[in-house]
Amino acid sequence: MKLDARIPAGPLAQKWDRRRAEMKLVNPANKRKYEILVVGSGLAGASAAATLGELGYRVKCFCFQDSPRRAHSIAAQGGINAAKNYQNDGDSVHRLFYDTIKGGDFRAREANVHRLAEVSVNIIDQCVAQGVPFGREYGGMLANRSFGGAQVSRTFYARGATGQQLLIGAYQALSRQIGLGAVRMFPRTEMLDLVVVDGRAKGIVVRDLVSGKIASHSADAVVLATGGYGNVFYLSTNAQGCNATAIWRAWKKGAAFANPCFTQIHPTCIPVSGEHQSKLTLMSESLRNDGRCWVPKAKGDRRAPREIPEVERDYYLERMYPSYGNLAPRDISSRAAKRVCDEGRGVGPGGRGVYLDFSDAIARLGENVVRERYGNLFDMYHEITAENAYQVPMRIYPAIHYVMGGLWVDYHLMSTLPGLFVLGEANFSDHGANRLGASALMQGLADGYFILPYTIGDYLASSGAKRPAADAAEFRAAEEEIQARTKRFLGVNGKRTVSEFHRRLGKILWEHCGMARDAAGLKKALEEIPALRQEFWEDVRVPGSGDELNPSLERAGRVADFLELGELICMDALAREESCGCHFRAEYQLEDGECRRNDEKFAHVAAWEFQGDGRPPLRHAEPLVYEEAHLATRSYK
Amino acid sequence: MNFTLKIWRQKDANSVGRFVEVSARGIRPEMSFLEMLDVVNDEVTQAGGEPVAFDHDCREGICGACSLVINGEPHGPNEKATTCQVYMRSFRDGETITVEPFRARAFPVLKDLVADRSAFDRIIQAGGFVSVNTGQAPEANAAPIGKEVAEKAFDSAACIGCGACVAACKNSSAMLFVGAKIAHLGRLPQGQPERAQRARAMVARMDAEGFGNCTNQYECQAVCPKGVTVANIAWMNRDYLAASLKKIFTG
Amino acid sequence: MGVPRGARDTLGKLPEKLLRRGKHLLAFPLRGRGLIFQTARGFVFMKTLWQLLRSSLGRKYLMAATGLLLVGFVVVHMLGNLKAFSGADALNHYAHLLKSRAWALWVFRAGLLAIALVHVGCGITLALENRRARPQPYVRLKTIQASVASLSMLGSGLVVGAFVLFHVLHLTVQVGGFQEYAKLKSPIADAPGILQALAPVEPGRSYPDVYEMIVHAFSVPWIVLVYLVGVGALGLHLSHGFQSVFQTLGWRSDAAGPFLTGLARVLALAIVLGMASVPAAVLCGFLR
Repeated sequence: MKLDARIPAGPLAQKWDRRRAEMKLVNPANKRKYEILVVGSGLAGASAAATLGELGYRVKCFCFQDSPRRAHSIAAQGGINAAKNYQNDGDSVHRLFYDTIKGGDFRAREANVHRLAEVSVNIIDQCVAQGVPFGREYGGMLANRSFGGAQVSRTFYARGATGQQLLIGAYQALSRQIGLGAVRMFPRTEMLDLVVVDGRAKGIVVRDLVSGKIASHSADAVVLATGGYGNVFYLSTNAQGCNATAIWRAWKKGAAFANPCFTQIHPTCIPVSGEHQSKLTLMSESLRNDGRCWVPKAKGDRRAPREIPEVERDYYLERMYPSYGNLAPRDISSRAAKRVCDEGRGVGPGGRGVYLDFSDAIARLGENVVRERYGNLFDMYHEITAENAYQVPMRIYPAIHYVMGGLWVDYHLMSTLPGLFVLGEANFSDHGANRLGASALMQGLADGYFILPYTIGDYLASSGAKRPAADAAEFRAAEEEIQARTKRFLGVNGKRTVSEFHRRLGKILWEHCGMARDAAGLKKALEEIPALRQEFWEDVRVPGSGDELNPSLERAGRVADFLELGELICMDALAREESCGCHFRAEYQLEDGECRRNDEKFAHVAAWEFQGDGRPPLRHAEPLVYEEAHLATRSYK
Repeated sequence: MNFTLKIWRQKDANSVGRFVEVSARGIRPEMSFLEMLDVVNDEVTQAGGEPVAFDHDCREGICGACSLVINGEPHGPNEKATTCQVYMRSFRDGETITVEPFRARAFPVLKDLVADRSAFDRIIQAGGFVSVNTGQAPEANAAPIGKEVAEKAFDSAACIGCGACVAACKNSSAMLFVGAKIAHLGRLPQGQPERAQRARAMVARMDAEGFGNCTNQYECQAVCPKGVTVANIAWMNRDYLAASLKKIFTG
Repeated sequence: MGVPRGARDTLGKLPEKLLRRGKHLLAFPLRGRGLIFQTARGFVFMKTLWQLLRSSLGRKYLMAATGLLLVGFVVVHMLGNLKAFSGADALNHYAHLLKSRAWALWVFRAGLLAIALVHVGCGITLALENRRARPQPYVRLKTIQASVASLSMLGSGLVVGAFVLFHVLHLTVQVGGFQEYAKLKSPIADAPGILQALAPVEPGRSYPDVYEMIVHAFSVPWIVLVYLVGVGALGLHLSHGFQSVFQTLGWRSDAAGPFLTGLARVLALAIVLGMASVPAAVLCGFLR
């Protein structure tokens, strides 16, 4: 496998312009001859499908939810970054680029990140034109807030529901194309396989989740915008339906999987309350603008938070990282929380929690201002915990939130399989080893609105419109394989539920491949996961049949893929013998507990190639060359 | 805590449904309603039965997927909360809880507690958007929008499309949903060029989908998990009337 | 624009010139719906008007507008009734005014009937659609905050309708045993004023004695009961209907909502008291 990132030559700031000028175009009359499949309808998928429809391509868009508006992008709370410099505080495209590269601990591709920063400004324009009700100043201009990992205010927001508003903007653009007949939408339809013909991605096989019917769709190109795989950990902030099946099937058909172990842990989530729990709820990072994180100085201090005097509190983020304070990046804040809890100073049940305290902000700004800024988050916290955070500090703890890893893509967002494009969280993305807050929305929309529509045209113009028939041998084979797999799920007839296996997998991963990892633990996980997988196939119970709405069957398919992906995550974590960003190997740390990166050996993207079931995958490396940013030890002190 | 659940079971859209009683044992008060159903489903599965199908996804009250009528209230007893944000501490130990799907002709039941709400998507497709292609947008700060207008537009845009308004309405009317979108875009300068056309197209689609008509009882507002108010319906009424009159007299 | 092919063909046969000048109006009663639709260039409005009136909202506007007119009528009617408290002459002279121009009275009655029929017709079609919109009812659907009045609009409306029918047969048409009322006549004392200016009475001539009629009519307890039930239903209907007008026509904001609800209740109460006062006063012997 050859990893050619196809990075344009020339100075960093001119690469994208140059490439756009070089790319081949498809003339308007010819566009309607091409059929494109977009899988997923979140920010990346909906924006791509809408834009491709506007351009005149024939587009089909698929989502497993009952409506494209429910994709999990909707749950993003805090905001979206853009280098508009409306606050006149020294922001620029270059600074956003650099912050993102540094935030990712120098494990992202420079050219991609710079392009992301460049188009960030267009995203805001586009979204405002669609009617996204961003927060505004009294004079009518757009407002900004600050976010972790940046010293400028460049985050645009719509109260605590920015993802929702941006997604609705993209959904509306998509709906317009559906209404015009340019895009055909297939809701409640799950992609179960990718079809490759003559080395090119030429279609997908899907299951209609209501009727259970398996159907094939052939096309000139396939776009995967299916989100992240954080649910492999069972408990995460992801929606219940988030899964890796689409990208995992693509991996098994030959697309490389990059940096699977880069899984982000978000510092501000509501702590786990019990075994039964099905998900963890995120509280937006924007809360750290005004909330202060602290734990008691003394171990095992069980007093109520208000009874602990100021001098006996440890505002640990402000102490450890004075210049960024409570706005230190996510990986750093998460690890700091873990560290103080490991020292026995955690609060709440089980000691796995820290306080996020708003009493200073309320004293300074008044409760009304705090309510205006974060009211919905406080309400949400109250719903879940029955505690009033205006009176007592919130309790938070880190949780799996986002994955930087995903299918490997080149500068054109094309995977190692020609004709297979991957957008948004599903690709290994522009975030390196750690994503900064408010950058996921930016990346999803950049990919869908402003990058893919150009690069896919270049691919189509050079490959030509040559679709196989949807009943070609490759499609039939894939369909048969899926039928057989369904039969296998239903036929095991064991004693344990799918969710039990999922929960057990999550525990293994959280313990050995969570916030801190080491070789011994990872090796242990690499023994436990295959054993669990074997047990799954021997003892799982999937009720019902394949030709009806069957949520257990859907979940079984997803968990079966997680059981394979989990292993790859641990292999990648074991192979990356350094600490960087979210990937913290206990063996590689500095004296103060910070990451010890190994740029000599690991300044590269790890891209894994599938070698067949039962055979170890092959690890390839795409070296990361830094022309503009200097590899430096990341410091937020 | 222990409960008796009276749950609607229906094989598929063409079958006749009925209530089935299931017991939920050993439920903890901090479980969410859906987590309680997870527990029940796992037990049913292990006992060789078929679990109850229900829609759900984000479980944090924003995706709009969950859609149960619990004891006669869409999204259950909590104010301004979706089904996934209802916790078992809101119920009495030993209580019998009735669980039904959202019911309306425009929301046919697909299975058990799963209803098909694609009618909402078709209403948006008819006109719930601003026609601006990618790349056509002017500079974002070119048109100032007063803070108050932006806030009000957000209040309308907060709709999550869950359909509780339809479910709670005695007439299965979708006017809160439609009104919220017409008001969201109608309030903003970006929404002005298509404002009249949008109101007419969306209302026509809404009528064609077979929803009922508003009788101003405001039950929709009472159950809306996002606090979308009936002022949005008034906005729609005004816009549709103005749009129709404009079309009649100016062509 | 969604025109049946046949209609388009019919249109093709019409002389172009005729179309352009809009003279086709002459042909339109003969040509039927297809033509109305097709001549869209000149008269889009026929189609749009039809769309508007057929739509859910169009019929709600009609409900609101006719409802508002009916409220106006009820208020005037009530003020007229209250003349009973000013004595027999005042009431009888007022009645004389209303009947003094027969054509105006009949135009008014026809208009009122038309308005009422539109109100009832829209109300019933909307209500039937509402039934159809939920073929499978809930086993249990709680009412969270809706008022009794809002939930019983169809019922209270039907009761009001039945009462109006009774009232017209009773005091206007005076059927059956109520024919006696027509015989009640007496002179009206000539009092200078606006009434005398608009509808002069001649001294010594006999006029229908409405005052005596209501004294007779409302001395019968069951009739008073019917009136009280009818007026009560009307009040219930208006307490929701009146504030609904504002919502339906788009004049209600969240801030104004409670005020409008209160206003509607005050109005409904005033009408109930005003309307019920005359029969009640007769029954209790205050008016005789």
